[in-house]
Amino acid sequence: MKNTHSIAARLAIGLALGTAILWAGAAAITLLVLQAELTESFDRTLRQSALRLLPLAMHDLHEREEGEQNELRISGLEDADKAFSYYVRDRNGKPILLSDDVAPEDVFANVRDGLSDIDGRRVLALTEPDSGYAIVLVEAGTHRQDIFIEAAIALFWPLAGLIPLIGFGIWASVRFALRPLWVLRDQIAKRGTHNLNEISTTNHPAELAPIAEEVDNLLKRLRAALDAERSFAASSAHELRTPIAGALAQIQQLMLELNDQNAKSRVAEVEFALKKLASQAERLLQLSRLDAGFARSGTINDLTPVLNLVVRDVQSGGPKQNRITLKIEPDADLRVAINLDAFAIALTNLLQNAIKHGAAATTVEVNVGPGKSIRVTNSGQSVDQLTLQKLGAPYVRGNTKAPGSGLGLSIVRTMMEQTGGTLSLRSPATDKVEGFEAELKW
Amino acid sequence: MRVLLIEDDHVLGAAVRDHVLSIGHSVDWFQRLDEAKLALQTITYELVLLDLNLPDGRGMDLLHSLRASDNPVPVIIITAQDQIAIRIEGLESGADDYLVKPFDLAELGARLNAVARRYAGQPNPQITMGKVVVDLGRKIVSVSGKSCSLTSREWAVLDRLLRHRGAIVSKTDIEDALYAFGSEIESNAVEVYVSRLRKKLGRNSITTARGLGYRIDAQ
Repeated sequence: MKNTHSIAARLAIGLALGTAILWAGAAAITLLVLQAELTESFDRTLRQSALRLLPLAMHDLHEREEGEQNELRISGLEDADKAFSYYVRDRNGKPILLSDDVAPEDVFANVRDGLSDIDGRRVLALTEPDSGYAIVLVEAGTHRQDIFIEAAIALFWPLAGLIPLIGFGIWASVRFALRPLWVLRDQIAKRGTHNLNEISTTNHPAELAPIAEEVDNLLKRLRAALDAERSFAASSAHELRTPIAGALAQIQQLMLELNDQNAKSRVAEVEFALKKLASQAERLLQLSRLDAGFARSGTINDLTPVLNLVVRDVQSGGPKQNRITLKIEPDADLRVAINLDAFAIALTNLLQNAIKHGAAATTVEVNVGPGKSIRVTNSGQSVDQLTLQKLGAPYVRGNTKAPGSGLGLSIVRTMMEQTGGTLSLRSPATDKVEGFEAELKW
Repeated sequence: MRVLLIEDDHVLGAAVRDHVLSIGHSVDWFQRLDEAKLALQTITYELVLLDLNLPDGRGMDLLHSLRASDNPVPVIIITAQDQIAIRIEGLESGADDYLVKPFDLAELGARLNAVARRYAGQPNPQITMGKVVVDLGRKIVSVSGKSCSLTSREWAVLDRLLRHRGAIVSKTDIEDALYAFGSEIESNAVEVYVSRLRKKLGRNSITTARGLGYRIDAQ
């Protein structure tokens, strides 16, 4: 199996992964910026809180100094978000006023004015210059982290859902965009040794149009070269047949005019050799035409008229004691994409073989149908299975003394392969105890 | 039967001409289309053997012109081209048969006789006239069951009369059948050959229509 890769799949995977990586990078940068902005914003909030709380605390302390000496605890609202606590210390550093949620570990002995990080907490100390009292705000260590994680999750979670959607979207877009490429691919894939029909050069995208035009030009050049080869083969056939026909006719006429039996025998030998030469030349010309992909046709042809013509020709040219019967089934369909000359050659070869190798004074049956099939059956000795398997290969002949080149069935088989059909050989023939059957089927 | 052979290959043409002569027909052989056209304008042929590729044109064009001018002369195409399309075109254009080179002369003779018989309305090659039985295909004549030998010229005269059986054939028509044998004929040649045929086939086998010609009766 070929190791082929899909451009669409590669593009979809690559683009989806690229998008995910870029998204993740952008989110990471955003988080860094967000972290800096959050820190600045929270610090500013701490400072604003300290500035507002310190006068209030001073007021409470002034009222208290007259009666009490102990620490004063200030209660907050029960459900309030207690992200930070605070306390006020005197100029000796002794806490004298605390919010009710200040834990002992949040009271630090020495805290410089300003912002500082102590034991994972954010701490702001602000001293009132006249009294020497200072307020210390302690923000819980997890407060900012929790908010940052929430923001990060908010940034990243769509990625998990969107990446498959983006991947699918890219895959669908790529498929849509590559559709013209696939159309062109399918057109080119259908071309080959036996199909050099032109490909459409219209309605292609700008990127593909030059490729389609160049491939079509290449096919045209190939067709022209093969047409020239076929034309040469056809001309060669004409040039060869005429002198052979002349020599054969002269020899046959000479044989009629001779009275000497010895001379007649010699002339008969020459006639036999000439006929053999004619037959071999014919087979070789057929082979040379096959090399040029001669059998395949770009159009569907009705084979019925050719079938009738060939049967008539072979019947009238063959031995009079052999009769050919033609039976066409009602469901036969002889519309096939095969060159009519190729079909005529194939059928002629099969009929001549059937007559040549069949029993004398018997009938050769031609059965057409069902569907696109033609069976040519003769009567006579069966062919053994070993020989049957070899028949159809070039220069392979059955156990026969009849003259022949061993190329006829090989030519028929090649023609069928070129037109997407098959040649099947059977012996004994279908529903018979003897004979030979050749079936053409598309 | 007077046959027009149009074939440019000298070797093949000569052999075909000799064979057609040997089976009892007269032949005019031309190697060019223009010569053949001229001959067709002046002589009534009973069959044309036509090659398709000729030095000065296509044999198919001659066939088209013959049929366009309602000339019913039977035509057998002999060609080296085996393309089915050309064969079908030839038959659809009015050719009566088609032989691809190389062919057996015996097959050519058989097809030539078969086509000629079809045109004469006599598909059966065996004709019976009382005690006389003529096999046009095998060129055999028997009288009262005994074989009777005829010369080529005698065959030509008998063949011409049999192809128009029941009708009067003019002396000129019979002379046409004799001319193509290549040698000069005497002014009384027709009378001589008719007389010889009467001696071999029977006095009443050929009827003379005074001033008009000769006739073999249909019955």
